[in-house]
Amino acid sequence: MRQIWMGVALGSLAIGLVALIAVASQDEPQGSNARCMVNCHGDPDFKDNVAPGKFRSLYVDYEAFKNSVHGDNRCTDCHTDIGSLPHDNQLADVSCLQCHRQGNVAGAPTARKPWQYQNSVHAQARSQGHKDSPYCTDCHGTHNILPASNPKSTIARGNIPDTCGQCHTDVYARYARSTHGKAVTKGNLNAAVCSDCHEEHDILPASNPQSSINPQNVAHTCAECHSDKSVMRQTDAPIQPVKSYEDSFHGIAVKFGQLQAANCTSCHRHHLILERENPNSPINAQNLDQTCGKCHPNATSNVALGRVHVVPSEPSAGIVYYVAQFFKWLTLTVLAVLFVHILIDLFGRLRHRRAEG
Amino acid sequence: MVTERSGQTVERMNRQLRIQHGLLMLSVILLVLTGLALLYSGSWLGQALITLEGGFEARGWLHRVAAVLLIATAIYHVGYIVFSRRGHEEFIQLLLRGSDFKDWGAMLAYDLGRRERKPQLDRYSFREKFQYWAFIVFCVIMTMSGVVLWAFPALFGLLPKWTFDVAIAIHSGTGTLIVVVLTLWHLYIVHLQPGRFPMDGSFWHGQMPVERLKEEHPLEYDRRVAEGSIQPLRSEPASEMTEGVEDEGGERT
Repeated sequence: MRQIWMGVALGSLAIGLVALIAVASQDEPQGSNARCMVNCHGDPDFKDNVAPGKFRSLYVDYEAFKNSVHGDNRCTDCHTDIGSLPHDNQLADVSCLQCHRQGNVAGAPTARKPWQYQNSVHAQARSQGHKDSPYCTDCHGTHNILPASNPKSTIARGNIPDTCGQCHTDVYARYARSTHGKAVTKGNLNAAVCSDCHEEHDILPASNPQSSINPQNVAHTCAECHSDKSVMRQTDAPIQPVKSYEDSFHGIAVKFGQLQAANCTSCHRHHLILERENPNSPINAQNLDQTCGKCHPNATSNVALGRVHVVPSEPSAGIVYYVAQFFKWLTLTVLAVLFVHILIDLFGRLRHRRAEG
Repeated sequence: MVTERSGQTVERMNRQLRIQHGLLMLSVILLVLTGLALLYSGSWLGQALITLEGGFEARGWLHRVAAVLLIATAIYHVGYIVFSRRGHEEFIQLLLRGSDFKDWGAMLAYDLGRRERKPQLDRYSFREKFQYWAFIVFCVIMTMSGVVLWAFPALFGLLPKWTFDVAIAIHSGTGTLIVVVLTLWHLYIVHLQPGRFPMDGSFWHGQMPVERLKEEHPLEYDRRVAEGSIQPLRSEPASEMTEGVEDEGGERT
């Protein structure tokens, strides 16, 4: 009798082991994730009745999850408030920052400083009760998060305008018609997308002096690309405007806090930036008098004569270059002549003192 | 060098000239400091100057107030030349002549040992005349280009945009040149040269020792002695230096 019981025990142990090995060798949900998937979330019809007649799908596409950046994580790594099954119907929002924080040991990437989201306009709006304001998952996705390097990712350069445009529909429409938007559509991923000007996680309102789009910082933000020769060469865009602006009355005035002075966007607009040749562009020769006239009421079509962004030290500045060169060489010559003149005077004094002494 | 043993002085600048020079000095120093602040606003020097001048906007106002002072001084100076006998006489003496360039060459030759005798200079030598006329040219250029920039809101639209860029280039270029000439010519000759360092006080009290008048402006010295307005210096050997100069003067007469 005892032997029979031993046989049953060994047999069930062996069956259990085989079953475990079989489960472990499967491609499909394994480990603790299996319990979530097999019983509930693997069923495409699994849903939650949020309101009378309104349902929310609770299905998780495990295939997409396995391909995501978090494919090796357990469900409970993010859904940390699940202790036992079945779990509560109302789970807390997933806190991405529990891993994506500075100095984490989980190896979660933090290069883009995701915690800065907490200061952003989006987080501020959320804390003020605007539940539509985006959380991490609205831009990055949920179970299907892909790295920015993957062209299918919602945060791949080429897809960023579409991602932001889900909510910012009017801005998206204008951006799509702009020289930046058209270039991105054509596949030039060097052209500016939303996050190049607005930053990624620390999106701040223009009124914040720290913001990349604060009037004081606009020129610097545009200069990140527009002073980069290698980027600008691809589109035949000049890099002089950056230096020219910095040395201009506008640039200096803004630098010293006179924010009513023009910055890049005052003349070029921001979302609907158009190239000079476009008749709808504010910097088209036909429209310059109106553009300058926004601040300088006396502007006439005269302002379209000559170049706007001149760098006096470059021949492209024309007459300004020659005037600047004339004064440069005149001053250097006068400096040298007067210096020699002083030396001769001192030499003469020394000579005569010695001769007389 | 000049010794001031006799204690006898002559008036080099009367009150009118001292006041005009004072106004010019004040306005030019202010213009240079506020102008350089803007020209070098990208460097620590410019930023320190702007802070010192009470901020960006205050710097602009200070520059324009100083400009008005300079223009007013220039107008007053023209009035002084036209309407005052003394001003008229001074101006005639300040007119450039061919002999000034000859004197300049002779002075260089003398310093370099190519010439034995020092050129005999009058009340206003090439040293004073060159800077006087250079400053008149500078004032005209700076006033014209400055007015174009100041009146920008009214002129914008009348003039094409490049004229303002040219005005900026002229204004900053001439401004830099003025600083160079002011330092290496005017300040060196008047204050910094050996024997005068660190400062010559005649712009304040208007007086010049007769010994220096004799050394640097011998023709005026002779004229004043002849008309009896100063006592001729005793030919006592006050120093080795004046002895040398006096010997030369003796040769000439």
